[in-house]
Amino acid sequence: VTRFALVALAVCAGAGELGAEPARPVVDLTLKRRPGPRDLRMRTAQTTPPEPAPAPETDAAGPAVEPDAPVEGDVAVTAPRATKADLQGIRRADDRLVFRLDLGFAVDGGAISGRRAIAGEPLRDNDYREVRAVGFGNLFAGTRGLFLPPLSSYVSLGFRVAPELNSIAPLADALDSTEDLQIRAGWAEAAGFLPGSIGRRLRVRAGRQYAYGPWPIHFDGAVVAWTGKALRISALAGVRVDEYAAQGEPGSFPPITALIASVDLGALGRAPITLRGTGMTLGSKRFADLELGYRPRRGLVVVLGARSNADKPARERAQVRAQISDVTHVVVEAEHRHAADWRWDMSYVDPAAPGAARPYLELPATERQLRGSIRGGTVLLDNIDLYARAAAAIDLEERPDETTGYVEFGGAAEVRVRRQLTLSANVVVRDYELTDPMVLGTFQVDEGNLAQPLVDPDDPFERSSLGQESFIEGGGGMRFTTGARKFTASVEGYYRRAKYSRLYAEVTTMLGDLLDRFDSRGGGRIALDGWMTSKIRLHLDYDLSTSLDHAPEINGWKQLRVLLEGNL
Amino acid sequence: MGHRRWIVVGAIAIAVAAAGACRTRRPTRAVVEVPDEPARLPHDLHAAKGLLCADCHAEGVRPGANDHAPCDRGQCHDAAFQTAPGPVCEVCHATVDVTGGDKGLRPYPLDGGMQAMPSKFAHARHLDPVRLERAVGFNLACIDCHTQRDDRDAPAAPGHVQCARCHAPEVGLDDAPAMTDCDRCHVPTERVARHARRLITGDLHFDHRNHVRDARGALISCRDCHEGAVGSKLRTDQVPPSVRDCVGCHDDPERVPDQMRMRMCETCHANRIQGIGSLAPRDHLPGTERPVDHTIAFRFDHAEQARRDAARCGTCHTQLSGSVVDTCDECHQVMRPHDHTVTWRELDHGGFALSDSERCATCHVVDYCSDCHRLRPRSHLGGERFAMLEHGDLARVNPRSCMTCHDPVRDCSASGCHTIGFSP
Repeated sequence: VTRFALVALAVCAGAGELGAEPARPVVDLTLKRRPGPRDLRMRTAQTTPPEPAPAPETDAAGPAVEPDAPVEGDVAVTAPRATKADLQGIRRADDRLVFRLDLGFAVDGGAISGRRAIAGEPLRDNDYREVRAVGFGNLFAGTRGLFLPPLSSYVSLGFRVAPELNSIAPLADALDSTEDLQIRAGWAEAAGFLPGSIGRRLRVRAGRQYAYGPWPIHFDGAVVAWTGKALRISALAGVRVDEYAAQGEPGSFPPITALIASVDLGALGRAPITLRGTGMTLGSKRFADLELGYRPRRGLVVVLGARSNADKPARERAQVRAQISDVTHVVVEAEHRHAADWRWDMSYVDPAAPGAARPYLELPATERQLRGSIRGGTVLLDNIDLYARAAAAIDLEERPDETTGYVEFGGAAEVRVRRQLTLSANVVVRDYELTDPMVLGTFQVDEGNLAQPLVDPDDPFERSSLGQESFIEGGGGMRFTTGARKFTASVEGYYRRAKYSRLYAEVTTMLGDLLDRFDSRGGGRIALDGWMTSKIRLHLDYDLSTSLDHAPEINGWKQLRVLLEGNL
Repeated sequence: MGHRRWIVVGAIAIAVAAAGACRTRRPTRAVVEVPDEPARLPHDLHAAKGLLCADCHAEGVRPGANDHAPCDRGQCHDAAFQTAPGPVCEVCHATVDVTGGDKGLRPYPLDGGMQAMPSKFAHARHLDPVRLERAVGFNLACIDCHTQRDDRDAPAAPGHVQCARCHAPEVGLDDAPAMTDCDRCHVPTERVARHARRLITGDLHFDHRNHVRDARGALISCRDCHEGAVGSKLRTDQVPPSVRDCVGCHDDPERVPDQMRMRMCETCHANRIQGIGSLAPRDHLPGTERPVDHTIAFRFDHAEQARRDAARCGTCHTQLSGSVVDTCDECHQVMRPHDHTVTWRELDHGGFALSDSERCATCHVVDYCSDCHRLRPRSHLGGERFAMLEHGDLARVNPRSCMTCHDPVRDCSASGCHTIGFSP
């Protein structure tokens, strides 16, 4: 009986457990995202409104409610704008991880022709290498809030494998004099990591990076930036990066500091004016840049700017940009350069300064010059893409600059004749304002093998009597594409004819006077670009030139580049 | 040097390009000429007489439907009804005669015409699921208001019947007008067009009934095309669908049959026109194509767009970090400009670098130049023979190229070979 009673109790207990309501998991019914309106039939209206729903949750990464997010299980999910296949391989702008690896090789070639060079004998194999191959690659990796929401990082590397060459390369390159591993950028950034409305607007980026002040600044250092509704301030400090060639002594590159501030009055509901000022030091040098932007109407921007070097005015600039439609733009620019302006970037200002990159570039300081250009483009009939440009430079000093005045016209057109087929053409013409050697009296006729007098580099007129007088360059091409991320093939060719100043005349050799003044040549390029999968791209281009009037010792140049790009 | 000639040529070229830019493009979202009949039924005059809305718009009955009531009231248009048919009759009737002939009504309101006293309506408010859930306990779908009739090619615009489902006084919405509060929806304002902006114009044709399901049988949601309506807050701020909305499906072989793909003009247009102008415009191309605004001009002047929307660049240029500040280098350090050919690298870059050094500096610092310029060029082979004698032949062609690397005083005169200057 006891056993029966125990069994009965056990059964009842078990039954009781079975009959009891199982523990329900806690279900979160909070609306996490907004479903799109669906094609559902209307339900009956309620006379009593329900309790208000809680506000949607947000987190540091942004609002949790995604207005456009499709609803799981919904038969009428919002259709993508492009097909699924189209979207594969196109990165989402908010991806937290960026990874791309390029691997490729290039072969440069310039076959010996066996003909005599203008200045000497035919090339010999032991002096000159006809072919040079190099393996190269790029690595891009970035994170955005992957481990910690406010933390981002980015690395951009270039690397190559190039056997050392003890003779002259077929195409000029700096493979033997620069580093095989080049760190273009490598930075970490923290943004919005401090509490409070002011702290959330702070951003700190440290490492190798670029900043954009009066000039693109490549440096190792840190940037601290604060971005408000209308005010942006950033300060940077670091050391200028050389171009991977270690041309100066280690540590000889001067420190660089800068303060950049901008105010957008339009954001405050006032006039649509933006003011931007930059102060920068490079070693003992000081630079400043001030820019005013005015946007009187949508699509129209007027920019006025001025910069100084060592407290002397260096350049004034005015630009008007008009965007008439999505595809129609006009830009008008004018600038006034002073002698204090820098020719390349600020590191070239003083050739005597430590770390200044100047060896083998014997270019004088700039002179006052007025430059202007107008360029614009549009698309006609949705298929004819046109572009035109005109530019001019006028010397304002009695001394002409190294770059004498010139007038330039250029234009390009791209016409889609079939959905997948595009034809293109372009032309550039430039005419320099050289001092005529005949007028100046510097024209020299070679008399035997006597050394001729040379131009006086300190005499501006003599210096400006040599160089190119004019050139014209034109080209055309054809492109076939089944889609920018599918397959594209293109073929193009170009021709260029340059005319040089006739400062020296050689009348005794078989080269003749004509060769002295003109240089005609052409070239072409074939490119193939195909996506093997949604993440892997294969690119191939073959670039070649015709024979060269001024380099008869070779048959011309060729370059083959093959690149495999992989994206994660 | 003949600069004037070039200036004239350039001015003509620019004028031609500008004239081309000003040409009217094929309208894809045209502003439609809307018929208007402001004098036909002037609501403002009726209101000025002290009439209330309900005086004419009795519950559920069209004004005039009940043997011309209330228009024929004594204090209104009674006199007109006692005489021969005249202008008052033509407000509503197409033709009227005393013998009891055709009494067909003129269409009112005009479909696509101007609308007097339009209602205030915000799609954004009515399609906000959270708000609707809170207010009435369910969400609205498009067809709850826009019903599709089998005999029409487009869903009908909703009327009071559809509004009344929620705005009936019995529902008792807290913060929304009831159907009896006419003036909370219909405020005196300017006459507005029912459909001032349309995609379907000219020779285009479109039938909503053919766009219910795609070739796979999957439902096509209204907002696939009418995305702009979802966020519209006014009657007048709705953006009509764009051609790009069509491309998404009509270039997908899984969703659309071959004979209705984008390349088949007749799918949407009445006629196929042969010629350069009839090629598919850029916005008719699929998402895999280069964006519409990536023109030749864009290749030279894209800084503003890149600064404004760096995230957009990152969707295709996969080397970009995704950051929106100071990212120009992420492209400019690796993407070689189109004009950097083999001859550019060896011969042509110098003149451009001198005249437009800022362009070079976008990607290169000056060290980059001296990396190559410090190397001995191929033309300098020949040892002592070149150094002593034959370099002159080369130098004579373009002495400036020598001076890129050589200082005449330091390298040519100090050795005692050349004299400097041409003056006697």
